[in-house]
Amino acid sequence: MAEIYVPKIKQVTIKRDDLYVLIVIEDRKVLDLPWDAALQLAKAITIQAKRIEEDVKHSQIIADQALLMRSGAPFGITNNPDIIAEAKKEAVGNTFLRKNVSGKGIGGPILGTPTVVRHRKI
Amino acid sequence: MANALYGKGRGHFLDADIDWSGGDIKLLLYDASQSPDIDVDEHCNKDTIPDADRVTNGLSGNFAGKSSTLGVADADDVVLTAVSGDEVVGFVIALDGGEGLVSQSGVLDFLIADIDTATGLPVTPNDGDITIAWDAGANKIFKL
Repeated sequence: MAEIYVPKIKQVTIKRDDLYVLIVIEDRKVLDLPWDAALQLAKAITIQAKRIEEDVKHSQIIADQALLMRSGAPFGITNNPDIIAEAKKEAVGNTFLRKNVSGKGIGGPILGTPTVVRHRKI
Repeated sequence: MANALYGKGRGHFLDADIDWSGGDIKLLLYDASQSPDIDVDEHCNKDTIPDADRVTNGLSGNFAGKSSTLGVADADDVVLTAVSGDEVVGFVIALDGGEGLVSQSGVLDFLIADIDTATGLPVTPNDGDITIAWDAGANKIFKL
């Protein structure tokens, strides 16, 4: 894997030059990328940054996910199995949640979703 | 609305008025004129679901193959024959306590669940058969 080391960064500028995205540091071009490669790089940077954010903010994510679980919301905010497992414990055991959120998603009745099939008239 | 158990039906489960495994459980299709009141409606009669809201041949026979393991209600898929009439937007599941879900104001048949969210709903009958295939996941028909 190629690595780019940029010591003592003072000013980083990202700009466009025709069909290329340029990274310029103190008026010196250090990287130019075709637009599609730049998009992929940006996406990869975002993914890694989100993973780090998830680690840094894991307490808040557990709390939010637990609230969603307790309220029965049919979606989550993370797919990290460790965080989901912790959130389940919180949803069941957290005193504040138990007092203030009814727990539709924990102990209430749950209905399946059937399939209705119309057959052709014979 | 979403699929839900009738509030009073849940009460009848607690009071042992509804026996899922031993009772006669049926379903009844309804059209868009029907608006279930989940914590008010109690009996499956024509005061609650009038003829005008019912779909021709939309009343099933008794469910077969029922089970209640770990509070999960399940049964064999239900086939309704030669269904016709207005567009079907949902159906109720009810205990037939002796009045066949067709009495005018009877109090023996209890509403259990309202299902208005299902793959394939709404459906417009074409005089052919309609199959209700229960969810194969963990919750089957419903879980108490």
